[in-house]
Amino acid sequence: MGRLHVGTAACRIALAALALCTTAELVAAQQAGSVRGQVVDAVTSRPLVGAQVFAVGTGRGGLSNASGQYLILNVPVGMQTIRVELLGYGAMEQQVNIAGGQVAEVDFRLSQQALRLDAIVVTGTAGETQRRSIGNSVTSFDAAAVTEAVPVPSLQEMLQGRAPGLTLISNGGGAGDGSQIRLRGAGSLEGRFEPVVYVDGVRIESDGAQGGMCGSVTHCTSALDYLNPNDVESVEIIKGPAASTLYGAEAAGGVIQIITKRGRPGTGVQWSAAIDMGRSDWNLATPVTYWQCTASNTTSSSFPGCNGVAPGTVLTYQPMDENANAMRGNTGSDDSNGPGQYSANLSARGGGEAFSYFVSAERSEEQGIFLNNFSRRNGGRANFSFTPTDELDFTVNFGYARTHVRAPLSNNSSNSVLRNAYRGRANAAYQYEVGYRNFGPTLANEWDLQTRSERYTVGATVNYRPFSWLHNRLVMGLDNQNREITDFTGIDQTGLRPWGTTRSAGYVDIEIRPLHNWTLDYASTVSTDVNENISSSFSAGVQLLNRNSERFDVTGEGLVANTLNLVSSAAVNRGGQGFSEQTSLGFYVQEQVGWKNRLFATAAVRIDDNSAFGKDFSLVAYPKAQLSYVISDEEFFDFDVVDQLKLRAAWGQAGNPPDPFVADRTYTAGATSTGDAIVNLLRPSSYGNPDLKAETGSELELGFESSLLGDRLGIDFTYYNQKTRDALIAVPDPPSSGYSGEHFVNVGEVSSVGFELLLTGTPLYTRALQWDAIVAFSTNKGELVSWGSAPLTEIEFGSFATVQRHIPGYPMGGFWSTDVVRDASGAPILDGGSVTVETEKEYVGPSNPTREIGLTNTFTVFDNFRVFANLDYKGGHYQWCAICSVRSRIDRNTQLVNDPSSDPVEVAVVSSLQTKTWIKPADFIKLREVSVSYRLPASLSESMRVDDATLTLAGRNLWMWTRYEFDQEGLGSPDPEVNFDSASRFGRTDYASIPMLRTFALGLRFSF
Amino acid sequence: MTSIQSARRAAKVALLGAVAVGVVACSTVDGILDVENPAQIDESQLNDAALVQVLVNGVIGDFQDMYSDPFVWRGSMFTDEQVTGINWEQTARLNQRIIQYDEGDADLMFSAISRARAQADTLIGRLLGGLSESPTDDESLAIAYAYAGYSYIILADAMCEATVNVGATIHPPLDLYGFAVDRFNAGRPIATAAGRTDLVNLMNVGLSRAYLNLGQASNAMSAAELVPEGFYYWVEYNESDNRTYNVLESRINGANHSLGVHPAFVAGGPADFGTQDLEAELTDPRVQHEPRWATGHNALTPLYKPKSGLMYSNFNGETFATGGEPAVYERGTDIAMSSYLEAMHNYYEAAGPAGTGPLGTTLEFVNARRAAGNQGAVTLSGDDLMDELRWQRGKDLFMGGYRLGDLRRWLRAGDDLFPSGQHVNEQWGNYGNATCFPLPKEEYEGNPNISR
Repeated sequence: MGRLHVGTAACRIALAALALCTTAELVAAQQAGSVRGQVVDAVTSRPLVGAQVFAVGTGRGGLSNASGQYLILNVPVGMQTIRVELLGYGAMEQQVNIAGGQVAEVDFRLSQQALRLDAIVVTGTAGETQRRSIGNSVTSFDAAAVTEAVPVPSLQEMLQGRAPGLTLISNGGGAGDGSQIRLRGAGSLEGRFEPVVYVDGVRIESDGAQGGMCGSVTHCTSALDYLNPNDVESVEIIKGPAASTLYGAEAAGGVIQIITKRGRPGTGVQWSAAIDMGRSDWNLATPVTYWQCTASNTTSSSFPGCNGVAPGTVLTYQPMDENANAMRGNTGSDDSNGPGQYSANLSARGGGEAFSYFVSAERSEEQGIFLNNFSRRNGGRANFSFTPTDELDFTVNFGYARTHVRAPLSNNSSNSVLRNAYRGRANAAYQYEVGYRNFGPTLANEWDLQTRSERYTVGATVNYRPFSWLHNRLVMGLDNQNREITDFTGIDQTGLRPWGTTRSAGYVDIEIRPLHNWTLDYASTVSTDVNENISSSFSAGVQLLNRNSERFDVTGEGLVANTLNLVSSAAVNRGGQGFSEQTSLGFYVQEQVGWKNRLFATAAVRIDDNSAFGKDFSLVAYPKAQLSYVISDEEFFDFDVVDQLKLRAAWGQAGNPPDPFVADRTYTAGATSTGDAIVNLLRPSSYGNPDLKAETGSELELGFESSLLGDRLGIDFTYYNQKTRDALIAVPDPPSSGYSGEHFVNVGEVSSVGFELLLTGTPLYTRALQWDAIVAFSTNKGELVSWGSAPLTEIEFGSFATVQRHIPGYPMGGFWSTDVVRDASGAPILDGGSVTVETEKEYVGPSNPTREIGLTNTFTVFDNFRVFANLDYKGGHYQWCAICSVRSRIDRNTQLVNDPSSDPVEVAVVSSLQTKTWIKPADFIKLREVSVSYRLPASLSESMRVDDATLTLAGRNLWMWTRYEFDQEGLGSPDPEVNFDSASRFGRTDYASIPMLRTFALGLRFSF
Repeated sequence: MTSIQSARRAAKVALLGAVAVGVVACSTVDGILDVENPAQIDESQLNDAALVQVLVNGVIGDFQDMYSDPFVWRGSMFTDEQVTGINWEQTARLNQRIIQYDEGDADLMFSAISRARAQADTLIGRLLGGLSESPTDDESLAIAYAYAGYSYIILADAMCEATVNVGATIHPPLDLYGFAVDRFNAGRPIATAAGRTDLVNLMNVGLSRAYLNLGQASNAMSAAELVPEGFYYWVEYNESDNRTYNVLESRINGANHSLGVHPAFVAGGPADFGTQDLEAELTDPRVQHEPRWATGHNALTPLYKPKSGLMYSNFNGETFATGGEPAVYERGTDIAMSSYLEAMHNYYEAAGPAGTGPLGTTLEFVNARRAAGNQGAVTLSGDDLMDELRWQRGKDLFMGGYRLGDLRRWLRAGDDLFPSGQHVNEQWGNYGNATCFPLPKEEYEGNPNISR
C-alpha cells in the first residue's frame, strides 16, 4: 500500500470512529437530571477553563468553558458525587442529589497545588503509581498547557528549557534542523547516550541521523518532529539509570515518555481548532567580509570593487544582505516575503459512558531562510479507549504523519551559501558570484535534496484487573517509518559542470529507508495491604523489542530531460542495499513495600539479553533500590511554612548495548573488475569482539520534593552521581591485520555528577495580576574517568584543527587550545613577521553546557490577558570558532587582517595555526518564547457559538545575551548555539551555520 | 492468614513463575534473539573451497581499490607529480610533504595497502592450509603470491616502516622488499606450472623492481630481461559499477576538482606554471594536461588537469601541440601496475650508464624514450645520463604509482629529488621534509605487540 493510501485509510477509519462515537452519545441520552455550575480559582475567583467535571461512576461529564461554567446532562437521579480535575490544581468532590428533569447547581473553588504527590506517573510497571511512592526524580510537564500558551512548532522546541537536566544540543536554525537530546550529560563515549523515547508505551525511533547525507553535507532532521506538539498531553522524563532500570539494556541515557491526548469519558464531543501564522528573520549579525586593495587589484578584473580606488582602500561586503537570493526576504529575492511558517490543527475529544476518543488532523509548514529550504508536516492522530467492564479496558493509539523536508547544503559543504559568504573576499570576482568564494546563492540554491517520510505509530494497550489487587497490562506496538530521500541535479546548462561531470548530465539518487520498531510489553502488579499500615506491590514484566532497518539506494546518471527523472530513465543506473536488525529481551521483578502510605521501599532487578551482545556474553542484570519518605505526613512534622515534604533516594543500573553486529568478526561482499566483467569478492569487514556486552550505567540519586507557603511554592531538588562502567570504547583495528576501522571493547569509565532544582511558584496571586513562575536549574560535570585497559592515552578530534580531546580526568570532548610562543612578558614573539605555535595544548573547558537555567513566567492580567515568557540560559561551556580561524589564516578577509592600522603582532597571531584566540566562552541567555494571549470574554465567545477563543501573539528567539562575542564585525556566528556537523556526538564547531531565527507568530485557538 | 492473602501470595508466586518460565521459554526458542545479517559472513565460514574464487577476487579487488586511492592519488601528492586543490588543511600539508603519524592520510595509506597484503597473505595461508587441492600448480595460489608481492612493494614504497599481521616487528622498507622477493620466488613456479605466463611476467617485473630497491642490480637485470616486449599488467577498473571506478576520474573531473599537474611536469617546466595558454609547449604525449588552469575546491591553487599518460589504458598518444585531444581519465581507465617499459627502466637503472641490454645501451634506451616524447637525442654519460634516465622514467611512468618509490630509492642513493622550497601556493609556505608515510597511530593503538 502506498503512502497516500495508508493516509487516506487512516483518515477514513478516524472519521468513521468519530461518527460512531457521536451516534453512541446520542443513543445514550436518557431522561435524568443535570448538573451545572462554575469552576473558579479558590484565591482569585478567576474562572478556570478546561476543568474536567464528571459524575463519578456514571460516565457523564463535561468541561468548563471560558467563564468557568460547565453543564453535565443526563446524570442519573439520586445522590451523586461530582468531581472536578484540572492540572495544577487539587481535585475536588462534592455530593449532590439529582432529581429527574431538574438542574442541580454545584460550584467549585479549586486550590493550586505546587506538589502533586498523588499524581499518577509512568514507571514501567502495570497499574497506577503515585508520585509519592517513587524514590527517583521524574520530571513531567503539561504539554497541553505549553501549546496553549505559545505556538510550538515541534516537539524538540517543546522540550527546550522545560526540564532540568534535559539539554537540547542545537545545530542550526534551518527549517527541519534537528537537535540532540541529552539527559544529565553524556554518559557514554561511544555508546548511545540519547534517551529512548516511548509514545503511549510504544518504543519509537528517536535517531534522526538516517541518510540524506545528514551530518556531513546537510543538517540532520529530528526523529521526534513527526509528532504534533498539539497532540501531546504530557511529557515525563526519567533521567538516569537510577530511574530507568526497568527499561533495561538500552535505557542508561534515560527515558522520555510522551503521553498523547486521550478522550474524556462522558463529556460528549469537544472540538478544538488552532491556526498559527508567522514570519521569521535573521535578526542577528550577518557575515561581513573585507579586502584591502593592493596596487595590482585596482586594475584587476578579479577585484571589481578595487577598480578605480586608491591602493590600500579597505572594501567591505555583507554577502548575505547584498546578494538578493542569499536569503528569503532580501530586496529583489525570489521570495521577498521572507521565511515563515503556518500551522492548522483540528481535533475532537470526548467520550461516552464506556469509551473515549481523541482525533486530530494537522498541517504545518516552515520556510527556511534559504530559498531551497522548507519543512512540512501533515498528520493525524486517533486515540480510542474502551472500558467494557470495570476490570477491562482497551486503548488503541494511532499516530500518522507525512513529513517533507528540503534541506539546503549546510555549513559542512564547500558549496553552501553561508560557507562561501563567510569565506569570500569583499567584492572579489570569483568563478560564480562576486563576494562568494565558491558557489554563490544562485547555484547553491539549485541543490535539491528532499526527504519525504511517512510514519505511523500504532499501539494497543490492554489493562485487565480481574481483582482489585491484580493489574495486568499488555502493550503491543509498532513504529513504522518509511523515509525516501531524493537527491536530484538537473542537466547542466552552463557548460561549467559546477556539480561535477557525473551530475552535469543529470543525476537522481533515491534512498529508501524502511524502519520498524516493534514493542511487546507485558507487565503485572499484585497489590496487597499486608495490614493497615503495610502495603505491598509486587510487579513483574517481560519486554521484547525489535528494531530492523533497511536501506535501498538507486542512482541514475544521464537524463534525457529534467522532467524525465526516474532512475530507470537514466542512461546508467545502479542500486544498493543495507540491513540492520537488533532484538532485545528483558524481564524484571520489583517489590515495593509501603508503610502508612508515606514510606516506600522498592527493590527490583531487570535481566536482559540482546542480539548485539558478543557470542561469549549472554545475560546482564540491572538492580535498583529506592526509598521514598513523605515525611510531612508524620505527626511530628510541624513546620508552618512547609505543606508537604518528600525525601527520596534511589540507586540503580541500566544499560547501553553496542550497535548490531559489531561483536562479530566478518567479511562482506563487494565487487571488482576482471577484464570487462564485474565479479563478486569477499573482503574483511568487521574486526569484532566476541566478549562485547552492554555498558552499565550506575547512578545514585538523592533529593526531595516539597511544597511551601500554602502550596504557592514547590521545590524539587535532586543530586545525582552517575558512573558508566564497562564503557564502550572504540579501539582502532590494527591495520596490519587487514581490517580497518574500529572495534569496541568494554573497558572505560565515564562519570556524570550534578544537581537539578525545579522551583514552581506563584509570587503574585490576585485576580488583577497573577504571576506563575517556574525555574529549572541544573548543573552537570561530566568526566572521562579512565580508559581502563584500552591502549589509549587520548583521542583528539575537531574540525579544521584538533581542538577537542577525550582524555582521562577531563570532560569528554573538552576543548584544548594551542597558543603562540610568548616572551617572559607574555607578548608573542615575532620572527620574520610570523609567530611560532606552541606544540603543547592547554585545557580550556568543556564543549557542552555545565549549567542551565530555564525561567518560565506566566502573567495573568484580570481574566483574559496572559503574558508568557521563557528565558533559557546555558553556560560553562566553550565554542570553537573555526570559521574565524580559517578566515583569518587562509581567506585573509577579516577586519583585523585588512585594517592597515592593525597591530602586526596581533595580525601575525590570528594568521597562525594557534587556536587559543578562537575557543571562546559560549554562555548565553535567550528569550526563547514570549506570547501575549487574549481570551475572548465568555459573552463574546458565546455569541460566536464557541466555548472558548484565544488570540495569541508570540515570538521566538527575540533577544540574546552571550559571552560568545568577537571584536570584529561579522566574523563568526552571532549565535553560539550552532554546530558544524549535526551528526557529531561531541564535536562542537562554529563554521558558517544558520543561527536560530527570530520568529513572530499570530495564533487563534478556539474550542466548540 | 486469610484466604484472600493466600490468594495474593499465590498470585505473586504464580506471576513470578509465569514470567520466569516465559522468559526462559522465549530465550530458548530458536531464533528469538537471532537477527539476520545478510550483509556479512563470519570469518570462520571462509575455509570453504566454494569460496576460493571470491576470495581470489577479494585479493585482486582490494589491490585495485587501494591502487588509485590512496596509493596513486595520495602518493603522487607527496611527490613532484601533482599539486592539490583540496581545501582541507591536512591534505594541503600532505601536498607539502608534512604529515604526522596521527593524521588520517597515514592511516588510510597503511590500512588500504595492508588490507590488500593481508587478503593475499591470508589466502596463501588458507590455500596451503588445505583449501588447495594442488598447491604446486594452483592458479589461485599463483595470483595470491603475485599480489602479495606487489602489496609488499607498495607498502615499502609508501610507508616509512610497517608491521605485518599485528606482529611485534616494525619492518623498514628493505625488509618489505625482501618479503616481496620471497612471495615472487614462491609464486613463479606455481604460475608457470599453472600455465599463467602473464603472472610469471608480472612477478618478473616485480622481482626486478624489488631487487632494484634492494640494491641487487644483477638480480634486477636478470628478472627484467625475462619480460617480453609489449607486456602490460593492468589494475583494472570498470565504469559500469561504482564499486569498481577509478577514483582518479572524480578527483580530476568531479565537482570541485582537486588535482593538477605539479610544476615539475607542467609543459615547459616551472617557469611556465601559471601561464594560461600552454598549448604550444605540450609536445610530449606522455605528460599532457589542460593547457589552461582553473582553481578547484580551494579556489586557490592553479590546477592543470592531467590527461592519461602511458601507464593508462586509454592513452592515445595525441598532444595539444599538434591539435590533438589527449585522452582524459575515465572511470573505467586501467592503470598499469607492471609493464615491459618499467622492466626496461629497471634494467637500465640497474645496469648503470655503461650498461647494455635488450634495447641496446643505456644511452640508446634514453634516446628512444626521448623520441617517444618528441624530444631530440642527447649525448650524455655518467651521472648526467642517469639523471636523464630518471627524468624519462618519470615521464614514462607518470601518475602510474611509481614516483614515490622511485624518489625514495634515489634518496637512499643520495639524490634528493623530492620537491622542496616554496610551494606554488605562496601562502602555504615551504615544503616540509617528509619522504614517506609514517606508521599510523591506529596501528600503535590497535596492535598490542608494539609501542611507540
